[in-house]
Amino acid sequence: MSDFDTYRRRFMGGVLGLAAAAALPAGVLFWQTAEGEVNDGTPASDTVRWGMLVDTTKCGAGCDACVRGCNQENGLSGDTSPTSPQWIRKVQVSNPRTGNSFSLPMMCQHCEEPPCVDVCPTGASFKRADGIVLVDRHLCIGCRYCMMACPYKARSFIHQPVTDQLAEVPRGQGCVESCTFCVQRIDKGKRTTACQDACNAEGHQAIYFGDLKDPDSEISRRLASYRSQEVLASLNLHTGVRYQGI
Amino acid sequence: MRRLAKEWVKPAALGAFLLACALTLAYAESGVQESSRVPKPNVTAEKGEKCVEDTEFMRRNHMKLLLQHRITAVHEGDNQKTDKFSIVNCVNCHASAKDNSVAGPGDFCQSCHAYAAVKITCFECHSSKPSGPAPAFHPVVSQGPVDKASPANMMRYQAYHGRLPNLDAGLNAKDMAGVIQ
Repeated sequence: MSDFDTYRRRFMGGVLGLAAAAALPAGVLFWQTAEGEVNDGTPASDTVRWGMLVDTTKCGAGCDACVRGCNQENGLSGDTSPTSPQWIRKVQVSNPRTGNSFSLPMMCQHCEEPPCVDVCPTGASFKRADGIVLVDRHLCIGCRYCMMACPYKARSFIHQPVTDQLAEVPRGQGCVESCTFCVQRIDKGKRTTACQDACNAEGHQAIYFGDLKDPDSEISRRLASYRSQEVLASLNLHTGVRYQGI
Repeated sequence: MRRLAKEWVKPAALGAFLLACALTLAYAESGVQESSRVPKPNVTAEKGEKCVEDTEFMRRNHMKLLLQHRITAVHEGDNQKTDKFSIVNCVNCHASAKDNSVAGPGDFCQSCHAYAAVKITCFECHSSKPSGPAPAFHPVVSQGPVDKASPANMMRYQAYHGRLPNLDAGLNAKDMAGVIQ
């Protein structure tokens, strides 16, 4: 085939493509997913900032519903060995002098100024426009600098090959990972995380998830009414996860 | 005499060089014809009427589309813009009936990558099994049986072959193969 023919085919292809796009009704342009539901999530935008409020006064000691919910949603094994990935750790905090004790879930705090992003040599660790801190596993080389930099010990490294991953949550050996605020749900337009759903199903209602920039969201109203704290607030990381009653 | 010889040698050397080039090209051409020693990859799609783009385009450019989708989906959080190019969509249609996967021996992705000697690392992280049924319909796929002689297909035919088909002689399936996938 001559160069001229190639050029003509390309040109005609372009013309036909434009004609086909113009002929399509707008509704058909929305791609239908396998489940038959239309993805109505909007792209990540800096008009929202996703955040979480954990009410430790309601968090049940010994309850790990949020951890199980997270494992199920994201296809984690649930092992708690030192080398197993854990996105949420249930931590029991106690004061030896007074004997006071309470428990809380500790996960990626989705900092406004994330140290993991600062130290990442490849740009794999990044903060989305809507404040969610993620690892782009395509770029991650597994150096684990971010794990060293994170003051919350929130990140895990996948040491072993992974099989039977969920289609929505790709994950594999050699990459660092952490809580994603269930980004696969948010991008589909859902507004709850798996840990929140699991906590509510257990009847504790200790986790609130929502938009920190929307003054009418439940999390914003609660943050305005009750005293809450960031963990290690002195680091000035301005975390997206806040705790009440610590 | 020496001068004469010089004048004769130059064109002869050029001629010999050109002949060698032509012979090399002819040998290479013949080599392309007889590639039956290497088994052809299995490129049959299990589900769906048509891929999200032309088959030829997808063969050459699927990696670019996946790369583009990775940026829009992971970094921009946009599930709509390029969702039809997501690897999940690929797998939903192309997973084989044999082992319900695209990455096993002889499966769609693996067989072609083995043929092209390109290591496929996608499925170390991504699921190689379909997560649901193939999409119920596709925006660019017609719902009914394909009308081969439709005006749009005639335009495509002309674009592909550089001429209109001879409709009196009937539409040749081989010629239409490039036009309607």
